[in-house]
Amino acid sequence: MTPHLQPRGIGIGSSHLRNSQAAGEEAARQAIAQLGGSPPRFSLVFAGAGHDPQALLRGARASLGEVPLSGCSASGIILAEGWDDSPQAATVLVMAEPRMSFTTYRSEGFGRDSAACGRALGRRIRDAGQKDGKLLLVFPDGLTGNVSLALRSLEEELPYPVAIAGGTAGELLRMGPTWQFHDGAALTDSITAALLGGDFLPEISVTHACDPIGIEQTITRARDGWVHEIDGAPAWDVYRQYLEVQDVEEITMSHFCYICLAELLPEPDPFYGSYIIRCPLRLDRGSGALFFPGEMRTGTRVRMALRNPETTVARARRSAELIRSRHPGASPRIVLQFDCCCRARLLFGARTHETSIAPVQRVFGEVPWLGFNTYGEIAAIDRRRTLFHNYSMVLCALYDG
Amino acid sequence: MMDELERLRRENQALNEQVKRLVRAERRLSLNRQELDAQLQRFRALNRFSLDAGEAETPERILELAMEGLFDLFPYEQALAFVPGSGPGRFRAGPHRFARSCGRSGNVSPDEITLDGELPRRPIASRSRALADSPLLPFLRIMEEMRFPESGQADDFVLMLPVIPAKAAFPALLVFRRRSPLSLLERLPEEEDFPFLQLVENHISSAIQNLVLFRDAQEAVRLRDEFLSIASHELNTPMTSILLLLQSLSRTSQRDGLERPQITRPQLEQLERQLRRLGSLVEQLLEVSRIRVGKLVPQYAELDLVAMIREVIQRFQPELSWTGSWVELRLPEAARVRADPSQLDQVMTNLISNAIKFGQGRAIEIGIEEQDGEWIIEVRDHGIGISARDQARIFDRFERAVSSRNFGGLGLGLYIARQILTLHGGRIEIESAEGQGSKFTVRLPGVRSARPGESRRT
Repeated sequence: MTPHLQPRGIGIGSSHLRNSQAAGEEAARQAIAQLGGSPPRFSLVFAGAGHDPQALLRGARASLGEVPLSGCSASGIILAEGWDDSPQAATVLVMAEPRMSFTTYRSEGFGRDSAACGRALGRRIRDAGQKDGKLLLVFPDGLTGNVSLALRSLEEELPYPVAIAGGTAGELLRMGPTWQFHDGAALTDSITAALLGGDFLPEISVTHACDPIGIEQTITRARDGWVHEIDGAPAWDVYRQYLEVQDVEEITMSHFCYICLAELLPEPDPFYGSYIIRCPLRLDRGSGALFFPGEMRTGTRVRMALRNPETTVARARRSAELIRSRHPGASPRIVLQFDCCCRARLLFGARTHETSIAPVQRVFGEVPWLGFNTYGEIAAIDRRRTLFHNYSMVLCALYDG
Repeated sequence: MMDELERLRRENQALNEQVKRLVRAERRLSLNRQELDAQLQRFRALNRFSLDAGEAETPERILELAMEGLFDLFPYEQALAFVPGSGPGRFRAGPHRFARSCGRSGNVSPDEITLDGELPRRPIASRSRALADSPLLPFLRIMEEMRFPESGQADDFVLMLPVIPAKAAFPALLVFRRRSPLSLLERLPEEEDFPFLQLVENHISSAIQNLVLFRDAQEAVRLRDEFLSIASHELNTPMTSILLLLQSLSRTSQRDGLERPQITRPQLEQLERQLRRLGSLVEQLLEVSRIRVGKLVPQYAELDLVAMIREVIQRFQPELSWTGSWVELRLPEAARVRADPSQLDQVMTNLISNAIKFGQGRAIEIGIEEQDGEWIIEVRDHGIGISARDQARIFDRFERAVSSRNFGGLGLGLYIARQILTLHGGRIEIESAEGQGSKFTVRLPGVRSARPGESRRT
């Protein structure tokens, strides 16, 4: 992929080098070269989990210096030029805009107490006293914690409302560790975040493309993200009826990605729909309980749901058009895309970029574009409630203020 | 009302069961579609390879195309082809590639590997550490030198794909390697993929075999054309000389009004030499023709090699005196063999003639000794010698180690010698180095082990 020249104080570089440090260094160098001599003030890094994350950051910071850095490991990276889900894909974004502010944050112990982790993150943001914050990008661990709970706690602590967008860190679809990047450190079981403030306007839209199927069912026993029973039966027993899995040892991410739960929203959104999508990412083989990083409480009404490739693309384009319609005639400085890993190769195969990403990019024309394939997506569906999603795509465009 | 609700509930449940069945069926369909896509991709890659390989000009290029094709199908990162080295069982590193996403290249050792045993007959896909005690390990060691940048979390999977074209035309080994971690969606070949890999091997082998046959055919045409040119020149030279001599005699006798031309002894000797030369060339051509149609059948008789060699040397006295070479003999009193006298005479004539032609006026050593029931005949000169590369081909038809411009001959002498000796149960070998002369060693069975034969030469 040949990086575009970025004229708006933004640079995006990428690398496929197998050597993690060299990859970080190369991607950062490419990104900086597009700033036309302006010093970078902020950096986002997304990289395949085949990399040694610490070495990758060491390489990136060798080029970037001590600029605030955030990001996470990914199941694929998305650029204007293409999409790459190889374990060694790496990308670095740098921003040099002097009228914007950038502050990075971290909070650890996400799996142990997701609420406390979210709360601590919110307090650190509040304590930092940044007054002009407009957009909080968050990157929690994709496998260990209850993201919904953490987001709720985080929002309660924030000193003022800000738009929140992001995605949970991915990996090689093998349930290995995921990594969250904060300045020079690669953390796991954490949440990292960056608060962007100053002269810009964030626009966020989220969409999914799953069709509910079958009868409505009720979560009859759930706790701390673990769903134990659906309609009184072990959750896995309900799930497996759709999957033809003989041996539980055969279970892989591709099974979890095939079928999901659609949770009835208390207040349907005219654009988003009536359901929010939930995907299990862990199975307790002993009890048959399933772990959903999007919290599901006892009494929640759900239906099973299937991804639909055709509506995936159509609704993603509508999501992009919705953002554009809010800024007629304007072109965003950059678009960030947080797209579920289950909507990439697992749904569209090798033609993922041309089939599902490029049509969305064409809505905006040639603008700087950066994204990654997540284990879950984070965005508000109505500019009020920040929610955790699965099987969804979040677009976050930064317009001139 | 309650009955109606119960009936609806049951219908709902039944519908839900149908939904589950449909979902399962859809998933099976989806998996089958993925499998079909993968198969289609494989056959497209094979087809593309075959088309491209048909245009390749070297076996190495065919191997490069195979590497690129397999990179498209399996997520290997490095590939290195081992190609034939300087002898049987010896291999050297040939073309090597990194997958596009690795974007680097390195150098590999020019050292050769001697394989302890034969190339495996089927593909091997395993972790490299499983090959720790394998004779194939040296191949992996050479691959290490491609200086592949280490990833922090390295795994190490290898695929060894032997390529063994028919008649061992160009045996090769393709080695692929994957070092960085695999994602769930990346798949390296497993046992179930081996039939496909075998198919790949067949395509590569056929492409190499076709290329070798094509090149052989091209070479045969080139040799034929070259031979026709040389043969025309060689036959023309003595004929021109004879014609000039006859024209000179005719002019002289016409000028002097003589009814019977006056011919001098040197002129007569020259005439005889040129006619002998012409006869020898024609005889060589006939001999090759007989060999080709299988009609060169020895007529065995008991004869003395020592006497035969002395007689041949005697015939070459004029040539020896023109070139300045001399013969040093190391002969026993007698060396009896059963052989076709005429054919063996031709072998010795060809060897001694070559020694004189290429001996640069230096000594020619001819020796005979007995060893384990065989007669070892050595003919050694101290002339221009033959390079190691040319030694392998000088016993083939129309092959010459030297330019036809500087040294005459049809390039058939050694070919005929080897064919005759093979018919006699013997063999011929060469030791030589450029600028240091050549030693031809002929081994013939002694009288007791010689093959009986009563057929007449036709």
